[in-house]
Amino acid sequence: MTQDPLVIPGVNLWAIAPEMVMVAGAMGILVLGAGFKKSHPLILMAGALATLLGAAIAAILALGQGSGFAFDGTIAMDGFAGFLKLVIIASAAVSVLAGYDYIQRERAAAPEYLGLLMLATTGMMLMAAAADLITVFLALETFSLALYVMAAFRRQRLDSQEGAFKYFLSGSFASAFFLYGVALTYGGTGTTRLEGIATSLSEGLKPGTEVLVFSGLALLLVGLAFKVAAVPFHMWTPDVYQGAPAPVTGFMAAGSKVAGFAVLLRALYTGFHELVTDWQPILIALALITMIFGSVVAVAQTNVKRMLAYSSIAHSGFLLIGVIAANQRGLSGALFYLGSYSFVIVGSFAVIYAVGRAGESRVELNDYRGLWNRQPFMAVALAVMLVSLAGVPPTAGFWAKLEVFLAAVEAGQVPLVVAALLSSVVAVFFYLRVIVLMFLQEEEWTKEVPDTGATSGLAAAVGLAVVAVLGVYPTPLLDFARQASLVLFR
Amino acid sequence: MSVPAEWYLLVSALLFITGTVGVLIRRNVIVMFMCIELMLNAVNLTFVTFDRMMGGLAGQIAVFFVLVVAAAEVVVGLAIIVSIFRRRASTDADQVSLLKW
Repeated sequence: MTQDPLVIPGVNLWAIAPEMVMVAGAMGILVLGAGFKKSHPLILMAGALATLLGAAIAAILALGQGSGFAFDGTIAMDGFAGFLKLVIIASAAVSVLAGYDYIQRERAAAPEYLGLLMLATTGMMLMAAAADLITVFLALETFSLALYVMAAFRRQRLDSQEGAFKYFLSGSFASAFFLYGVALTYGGTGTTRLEGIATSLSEGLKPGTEVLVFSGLALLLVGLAFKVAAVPFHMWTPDVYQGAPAPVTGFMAAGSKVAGFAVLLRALYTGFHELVTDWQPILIALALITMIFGSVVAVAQTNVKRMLAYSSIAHSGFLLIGVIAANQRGLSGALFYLGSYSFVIVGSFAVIYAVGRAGESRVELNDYRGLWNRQPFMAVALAVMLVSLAGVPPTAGFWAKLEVFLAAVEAGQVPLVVAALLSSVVAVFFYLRVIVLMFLQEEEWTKEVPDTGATSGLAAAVGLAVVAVLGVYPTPLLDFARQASLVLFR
Repeated sequence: MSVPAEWYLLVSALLFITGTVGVLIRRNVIVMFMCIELMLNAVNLTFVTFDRMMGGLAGQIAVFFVLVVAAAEVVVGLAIIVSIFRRRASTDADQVSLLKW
């Protein structure tokens, strides 16, 4: 009996180079924190930023290595993954800046904060590159577990505990649904690779396996809809956004949205593309209720963090429109949307943290009265970013919405776009309300000296700059997004 | 006597549903947490059954990954539950209701 030679799957370390840099950096920071009890947070922050820079360089270099699959088809190396990895790295870097103020002011544990943030970033980057459903599950859990702990960072506070607990329970509940979806898809198609799923779907399903594939796809969508906070799987969002420290909230809002949509886009555009007529109606229904519910309920909020939570729900609805379009413009529009949204939301939460003062006691709408007199720069930065979230030209948010809506019109989804425009109009109301409070109203109490740290301001400035520059000149990022989207349309 | 493979799928579906219903109706956070673990293990049974039916290996390998993830989830979950219990001396989920709307 002759034995088959052992076939070793192709290993291309470029595909996971940014992740390797991040994990090494995270371990280094954790060891540094454990070994030198007195190590200054500033050194650790510099280390985190240097690691993020290294990961960004690795991601850019990997872009030049061509596209393909590594590790036996489980990890994709292409422009799509590269684009989203860079977006995730950039929003993590801004979150490190915002988090530094938090660490200083609340005397939080710097090594743990930065280490968890970097491990979460690693998981999110793997989500962007995963081409196999089991890999997606592992990446999903990697970043979710890190985020559960980060949400509980103010562990002495009841609201933080409660938010973290709700996030953990509903998050692992949703992960279980996602995993069952993976198992059923495996049973139906005989593989968990997205490429393999696409091949087996285009060859036609064996009788009796349709039910497995369809229920598998439905369960996968439930799990991902939870991660991107689409109604009716959004219940955790406002509580977690309110309970977590503001810099963590910003990072969570940006990162889990990018990671969730990365998988939604890749899975639906490649693996399940054959079933486009089956998943489109489901997502249309999901997008409609998500946009309308998010925008309407946000109007009723008095807590700024909760208001932004409902706004982020509404934005998930807008992003879903890009997924529904199922054409190349939809994909590149969604990528551009994710890129601009990440900066805006991380920057906004940096401002919220700076305004919130010690223990984040001032996060109600009334606390923003007359902010222009107290912290003029923060007021201007927040105003511009809210205008971008509302999608008013000339800001980055406007171009993002325009691209996504045009893609849907190209795909013939005009009623959906009309509904999206209407809910955008509703959304303008609650964004404008904050701006009016900040600039036109006098504050009711005596003036206090703001204790803003410099790095929150820096984070807000980055958000402001990105919104303004992309608003006036969106072409480079749009081109990059178009190039990145090509790979899923071979 | 042999048991048809489909029956295993049926059992795992029933286990999964039991876990889902448990999370939704039970109010003790530890029990809710156990129900989530039950759901994950139901999926493991599904993976193994499909491998048996198709003669593959990928599902069995997936089970190892799921086991590791479940263990990591236990660590984080119990830590959060313990920190809540320290402040409230209760594991009743209905009392964890500070944040609304």
